[in-house]
Amino acid sequence: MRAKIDYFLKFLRGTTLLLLLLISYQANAQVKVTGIVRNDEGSPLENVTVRVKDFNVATKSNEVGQFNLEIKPEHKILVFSSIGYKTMEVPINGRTVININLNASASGLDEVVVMGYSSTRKKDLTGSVGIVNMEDLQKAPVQSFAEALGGRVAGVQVVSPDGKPGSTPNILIRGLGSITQDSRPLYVIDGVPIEDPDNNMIDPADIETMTVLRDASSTAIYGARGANGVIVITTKKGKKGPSVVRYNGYYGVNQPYKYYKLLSPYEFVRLVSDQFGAASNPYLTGGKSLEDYRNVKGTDWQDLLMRTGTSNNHSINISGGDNNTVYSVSANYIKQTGILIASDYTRYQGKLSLDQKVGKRAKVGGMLTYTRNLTTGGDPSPGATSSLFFSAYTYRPIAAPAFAEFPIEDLLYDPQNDAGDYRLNPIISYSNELRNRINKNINGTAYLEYNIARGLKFTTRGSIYSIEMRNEVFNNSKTRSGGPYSSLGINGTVTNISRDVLSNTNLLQYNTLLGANHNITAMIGTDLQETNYKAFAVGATNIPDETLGISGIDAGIVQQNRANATLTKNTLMSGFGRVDYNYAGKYYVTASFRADGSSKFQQHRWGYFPSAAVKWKLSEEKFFKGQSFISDANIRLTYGEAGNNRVGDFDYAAKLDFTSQLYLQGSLVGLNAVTQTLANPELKWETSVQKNLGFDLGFLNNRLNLTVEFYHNKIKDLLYRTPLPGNTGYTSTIKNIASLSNRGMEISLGADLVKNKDFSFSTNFNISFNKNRLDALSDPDEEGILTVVNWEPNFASTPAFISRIGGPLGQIYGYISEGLYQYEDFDKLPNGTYVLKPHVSGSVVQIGRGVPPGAEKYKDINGDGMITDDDKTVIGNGYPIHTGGWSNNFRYKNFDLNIFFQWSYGNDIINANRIWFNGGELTYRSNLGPQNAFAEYVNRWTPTNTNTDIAKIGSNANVYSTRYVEDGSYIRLKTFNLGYRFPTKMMSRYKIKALRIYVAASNLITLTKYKGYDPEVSTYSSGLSPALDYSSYPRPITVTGGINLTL
Amino acid sequence: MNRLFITVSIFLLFICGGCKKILDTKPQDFLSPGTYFNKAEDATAALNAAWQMLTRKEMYGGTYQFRWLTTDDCFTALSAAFPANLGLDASNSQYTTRWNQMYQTIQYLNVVLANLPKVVMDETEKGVIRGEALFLRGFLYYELAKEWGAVPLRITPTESPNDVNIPGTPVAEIYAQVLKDLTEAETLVPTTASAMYGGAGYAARTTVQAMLARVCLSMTGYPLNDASKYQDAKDWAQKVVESHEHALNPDFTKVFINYAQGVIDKKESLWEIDFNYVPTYTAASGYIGYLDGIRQTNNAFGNSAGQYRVTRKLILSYGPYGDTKDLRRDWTCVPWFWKGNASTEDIEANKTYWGPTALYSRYFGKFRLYYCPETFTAAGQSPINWPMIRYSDVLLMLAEAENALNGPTPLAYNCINQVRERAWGKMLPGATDIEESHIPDGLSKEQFQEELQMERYRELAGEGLRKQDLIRWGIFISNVKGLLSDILDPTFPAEANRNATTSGQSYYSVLNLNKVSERDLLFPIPPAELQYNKMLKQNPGW
Repeated sequence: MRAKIDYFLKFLRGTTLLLLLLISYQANAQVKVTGIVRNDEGSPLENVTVRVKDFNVATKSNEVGQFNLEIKPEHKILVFSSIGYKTMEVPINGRTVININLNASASGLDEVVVMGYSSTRKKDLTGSVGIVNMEDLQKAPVQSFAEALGGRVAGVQVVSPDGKPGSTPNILIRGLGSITQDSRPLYVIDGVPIEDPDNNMIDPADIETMTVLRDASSTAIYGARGANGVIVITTKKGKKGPSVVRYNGYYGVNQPYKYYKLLSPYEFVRLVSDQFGAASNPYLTGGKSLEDYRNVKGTDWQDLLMRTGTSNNHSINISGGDNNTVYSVSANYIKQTGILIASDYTRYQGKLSLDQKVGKRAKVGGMLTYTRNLTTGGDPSPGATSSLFFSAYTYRPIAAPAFAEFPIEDLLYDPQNDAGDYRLNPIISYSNELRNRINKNINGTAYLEYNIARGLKFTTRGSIYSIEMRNEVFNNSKTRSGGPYSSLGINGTVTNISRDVLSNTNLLQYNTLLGANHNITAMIGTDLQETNYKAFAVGATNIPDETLGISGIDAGIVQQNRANATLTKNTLMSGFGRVDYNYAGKYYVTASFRADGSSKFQQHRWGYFPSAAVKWKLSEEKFFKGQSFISDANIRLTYGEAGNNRVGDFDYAAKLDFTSQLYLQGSLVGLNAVTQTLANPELKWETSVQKNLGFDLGFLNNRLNLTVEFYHNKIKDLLYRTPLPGNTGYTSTIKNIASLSNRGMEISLGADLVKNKDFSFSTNFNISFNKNRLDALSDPDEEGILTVVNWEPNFASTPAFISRIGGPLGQIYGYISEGLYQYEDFDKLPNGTYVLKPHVSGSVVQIGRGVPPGAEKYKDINGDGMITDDDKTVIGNGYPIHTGGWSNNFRYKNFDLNIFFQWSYGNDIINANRIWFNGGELTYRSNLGPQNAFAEYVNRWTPTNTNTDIAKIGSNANVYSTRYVEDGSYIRLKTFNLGYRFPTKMMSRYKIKALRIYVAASNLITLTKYKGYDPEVSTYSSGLSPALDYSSYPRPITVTGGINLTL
Repeated sequence: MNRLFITVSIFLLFICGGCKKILDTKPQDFLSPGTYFNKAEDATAALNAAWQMLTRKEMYGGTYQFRWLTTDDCFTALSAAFPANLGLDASNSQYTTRWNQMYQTIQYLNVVLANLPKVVMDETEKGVIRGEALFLRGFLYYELAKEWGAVPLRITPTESPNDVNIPGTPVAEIYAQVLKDLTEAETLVPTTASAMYGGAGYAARTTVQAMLARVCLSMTGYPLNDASKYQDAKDWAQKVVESHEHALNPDFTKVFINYAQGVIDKKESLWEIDFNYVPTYTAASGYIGYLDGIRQTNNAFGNSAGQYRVTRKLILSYGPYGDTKDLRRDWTCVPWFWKGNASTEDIEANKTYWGPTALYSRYFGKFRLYYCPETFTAAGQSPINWPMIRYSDVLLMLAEAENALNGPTPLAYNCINQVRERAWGKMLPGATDIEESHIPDGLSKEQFQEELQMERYRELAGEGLRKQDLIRWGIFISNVKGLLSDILDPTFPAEANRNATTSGQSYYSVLNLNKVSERDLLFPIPPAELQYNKMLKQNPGW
């Protein structure tokens, strides 16, 4: 038999249109075999490939599941395959009618991978795509998937700011992709691309699949938004069958797992003497001596601030349907009380999805989600002395005799403190600050699918993603900002923000089989999106009565600087296309192209993003047959370009500002119109050029799977503030000028090690290495970017991080500590002063006080005899060398156990807490009264205790040094989940389909050298300042008990 | 197949139909220069932005005057790295700040001038705004050419971030542009008598004329040495005089008390930088009287850092120490200092007088905070205005130009003697023996010029004009170098000179000044400018 194929394929790039103009098919056959393919529920299946095994003959089933094939006598076996179903081989045995039912595939290579606009079988993937094991992830008792995503998929790094309930971690895919702009991935939620969604909007239990698109061959189809990777989420939809009710509920406790040890009252009093002199130590008055404090137990403010929190979650889902209609209804309630007083998180969510067949060819459906989040409790680290833990650590544990009668725990201020000492009772102030963040989210999608012809499907989808956010801030008389130390009186501000994203997507999908071996899937589509952003705020001071709360804002004095009115929008219009071709499941070629038009740009309004991928499935080659050890082997090579369009909506335009006021002869003349920025009509998106080489190996019928990926992403046209010569009238402007690159390797290993009736053990391991490098900055190049973290005004101009050209981004920058200046470094002059010996390097950074014995000593790198700015160097890595996760599932009879470890290795953290509370410059500021400190401060340098590395009181500079840089590597038991599934037989008596009870825990064990509360921390986080910890919200250990119930 | 093509066609419509408009969004949240400039207020607000730049500390807010312009009249009595102390690197950020702010202001002005034509407003008023903008641009380029030499000349707004490479324009061409701007401005701005005249900070017609005289006189000296400009200088100065809008304030001290009190005396003061004390808006105030002034840090008489001191040479230029009738001396060179912990407002009781040999410690006293309406202002928030052009300057410029053209004519004598009469209190009620204040009759042209140079020294000391005077006369380096021998003069007790205050800082400051060299005739071009403007060259010696 011979088949003759003529085809003519035309791919029009400019309009992203692919037209199949002519398909002709001729066959010459003897016997006709026909039949109907159905799924396991009996519905006809369209588009199933029916192929004659080992021969070049194939066809596809039509819309009623029917296929016709002409065969020759030598044809023995038919192979049925379709996305989402297990491939089936059926011997012909001389039959002319063969009706079969295909089983849906649960996992493995036939697993369907949702890639946003399209889906494919795992075995047909050409790009680098990570699939999140949702079953595992859902075992973590968390309110958002983002909290549990770290370590689940190779290449995904989760940078978590702290442990506050409702806080949103930053997700990086294959490293930091931008210097100044947002590096977060694009989300595609049920087919709708959304930048920066509220991840708390989605109940993790309601997620059906989650896929991470890592390389540009998968993300280029998202064009100007794909450079930072794409996370594709589909939520649960209805399934045909009788109604099923699923319930997941848990209740548990959150516990702090670490405290900083503070000085005992005895040591505290001794410290006060050291600082102020014993004669003016208020604790040594009224006949008290130091020894009297030996066994006194003081107030532990840290302990009072922390509490045992609770986690309470109920998720319910009801779904079902028939041949024509399927539905799914879900609801979720979660309430977490944080481990700091007054910080809670509450979510209510409801979701409805409905899919309806209309006639034979059409299907309509939609989905509507409503979420309301409420986060309470202030930011624990607003900076400097305002930070919550500053008060908690330094507040005096005991009263001096003269103040013994004051109930300090009930007073907002410590009466013992001088005026100008702004420390507040952390318990009272924090619990009185109203900081409510209310997010209301509506996400609605409606679609129409229409099967135009066999293999040709048109889909149109419209959606709205709408978020209403209200921030309520109110400071009553018992707070820092509204109390007696504030000139503002009782004050409050309400901010309303709304963001509406309207989208429309149209897709035309085609797939066909030409001859037996040419599989073609093609898609073209358009996207339209409009984003409207509005923010309005009003605030007032001197509100007459605090009992009014925020409703008293109109009774106070409305302040201009607390008012805000922002109105902005952007639009995006796109056309895209993608072709997947494979020859006999052996040789794969994929190409995609997208054109994006964005209102954010002027001259470069349109961007074009191509990609291509090839794959060779070696295991299908003849030379692989005849052995059963290696069951799957692929080599994949991809190339693509994707963009990052996260710039302001009108950043290209010159801005006129009205902030400066002109006074003449004592009176205000008016606001000046200041031309603040230079227009940059050439502004464009940042482009990431990505190359990926991947290897997949499956062993022993794919019980063991190994994937190794190598990638090199070169990101160019990065937006960076480039200096201008002064003659332009400006000192800098934002230009697409910098570039950086990310290179890395990812290894994922999965194994079903044991699979018995009573016992099974499977394990999944992944590790990701990423190295980034700043390639270029401005023109001419600056040496690098210094990044300041403004956690304390004295450090407001001290760079904490450096990103040097040729080096990685976000490295910690400062001095190398060399212990302390000791007496032997000095010559003692007859008048009693100490002068450094000639060979010992002095210090410019500490000048003004001279360098006394006991001061911190730094390495004189350039050897000029002076410690200056030139002696600063890289003293730590802000980003890890590798991160990863290891998930293990055990099942013994009805018991199941999931143990998930997550780690990060090679990253360092600036523990700024220790700069202040353990001997840095800031410890014991002279303008504050007695301050408590960390317990290690006992060992500070004194003339009698010189063998130490903790400096003498108040003799250091405001610098970062290796002393405060700690290894942030950790490995932690992130999720632990032990369950028991009641026997089905027993349950069916109660009409229960399934019941499982479980104990789940988060962050149960952490191994780290980091001395702070938690190594997963990044206060004041930005891409260039990833690792500083100051007064962060501690991350809790969560232990819960729950049930999964299916009715 | 038909169905397929219909669908594809519909699909194509989706892509191409009416799409262009969708991407054309307009900013709703802010204005840009292209959409602004519609009404008179817009133009005024944009011009005000430029006026306000002049009040920046490195522009004319005080830092520039008291930390940059040290010569042989006053010096910065602080060993810190200020331009005044010479010997800084070109990379010092202070140079960058002033350079950038100068051009920032010029950009504001260019934006105003470029957009003014489309503003719908009264044409005369529009002319005034154009005139003010041109005056200011002319003034700033004059300052730039004096301070930096051949600098980039921009007379249209910078519009593209790629428009960065501009070569230095030869000084003569910059002056040509300055004259063009100022002469046009002169025809557009109102007279001080006009209702449209806006006060101390605004340029009136005579202000522009006086500035033209100053520019022309500068052109006669180093580096252009264009003697033909004496006539223009004389003509412009004479126009000011003949406008009869100006006259000397009879009381020399009152001139400066007015600046402190916020009293505008248009007759004496042709142009001021207007500073204001606004408790909630520190940017409105300056450092005049704060960086300089009579040191006092506990606020009883206003908070002054007292960093600006007078030289012995200046003190003695008014005549022998014990025998001078020139009232300017003890106002300019304060013979006393505040007692420590001054706490009452009894001024006399809080004074401590310097000894007669302590001639290197005295504070520069033209701007005194204790005359301000609010003397208890916070540190560094001074409302004292800064004089840009005073009438005595105009008279002395006229005398200098006249002498250069025609020798010491009666006009030249008359001008200089007016200034001297006021200085000796001969314009005050009841003054007698007016002639004793006059300079000697019968001087030669050269002698007259010498006398005139000293008169400018005495009259305008500490007002930021001395350095440029010395440079255009070609005697800057020799004069500054001469200070060292002056302080080391063995006929005066050296220790008292150097060390009368605390640490002998005066001596070290003068020692700093001895580093003066050719390169100090110009400031260095900031490194960022050279780095990013590849067509500009660094000034010699830097």
